[in-house]
Amino acid sequence: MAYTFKLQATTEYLLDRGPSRSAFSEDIIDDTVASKADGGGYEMTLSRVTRDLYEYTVVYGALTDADRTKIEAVDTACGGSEWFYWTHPISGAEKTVRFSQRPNFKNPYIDRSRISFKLRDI
Amino acid sequence: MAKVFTNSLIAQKNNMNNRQPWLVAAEISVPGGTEYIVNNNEALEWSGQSYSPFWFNFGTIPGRSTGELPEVAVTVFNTVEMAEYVGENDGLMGYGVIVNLIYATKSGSVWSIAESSTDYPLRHSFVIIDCRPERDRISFVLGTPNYLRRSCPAGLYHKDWCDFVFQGDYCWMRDYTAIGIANTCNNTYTNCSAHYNDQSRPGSGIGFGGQPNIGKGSYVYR
Repeated sequence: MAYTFKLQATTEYLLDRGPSRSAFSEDIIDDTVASKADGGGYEMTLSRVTRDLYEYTVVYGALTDADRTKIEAVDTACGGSEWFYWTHPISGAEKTVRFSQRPNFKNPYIDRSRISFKLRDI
Repeated sequence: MAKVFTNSLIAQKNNMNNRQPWLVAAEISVPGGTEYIVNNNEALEWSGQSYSPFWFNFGTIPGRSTGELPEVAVTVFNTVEMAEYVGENDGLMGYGVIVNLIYATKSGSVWSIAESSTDYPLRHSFVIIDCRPERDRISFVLGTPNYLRRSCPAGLYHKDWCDFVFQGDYCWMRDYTAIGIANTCNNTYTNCSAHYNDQSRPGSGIGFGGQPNIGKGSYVYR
């Protein structure tokens, strides 16, 4: 599978490896509108929108400097507001996302970085 | 005559735990055409028309028992393009907005609107009667056309006061620039006369937007 970040300007960044599978998580963003009624606390519920959105937690345990530069380039170009295409590491599907938590870089090894960030469907 | 709710619409309205979201689909008459938007996170088709996803917050349509006209507040996210567009079109004041309260149903993986748009009972027509751009949002007020909101008479002529905007559409100085005096106006006949003499008395007289010959404190309607 190709682990890619593709910007709107069709610039594509291909990473050598995928994120840590054990640390990867995807959480559905609950859009339910709930209203507590008086009668015994019964809740009236309603969907707010038609499409379910997810937030993905992505962690790379030991990323090479070359790959780190690519993620930095995506972060610089898009920040937290602009969307880009990203390859889902398990399904391989191309998702349209933005950074909901921008990349956090740690340097536990001499030539490897630990990077974590969150992506959110738009 | 009251519009008739279909059985499916009543069932959806009374459903207390509903996977089908209720949405607001709006048709907005704007300069150059009609925009179709829905406050959903994906586009929806309704009667052959595609409604684009667009975030807006739609207020409550008030029930009135004392004869006031209903007004509804609508708030949209203020992007730079949105603010410019609204500014260039005078706040979209007076443009029509048709609001449909709809629910979406899912068949397989496809969402659609089951109800017919023809004679749809939850359809309301408004016009934009107020627009307030703020830093992060634009607030519109939707209301109904009301002739009592219009100025009547359209204007007044005063003895020594001109209502026209200096060098605006109605001002005779529109195509001139002051030569020997300041290019400003204090709306008085004296100032208008000074501009007239400054331009070497063009045309057939001073185009003052008042009536200097009427009595002090009097008005002339126009």
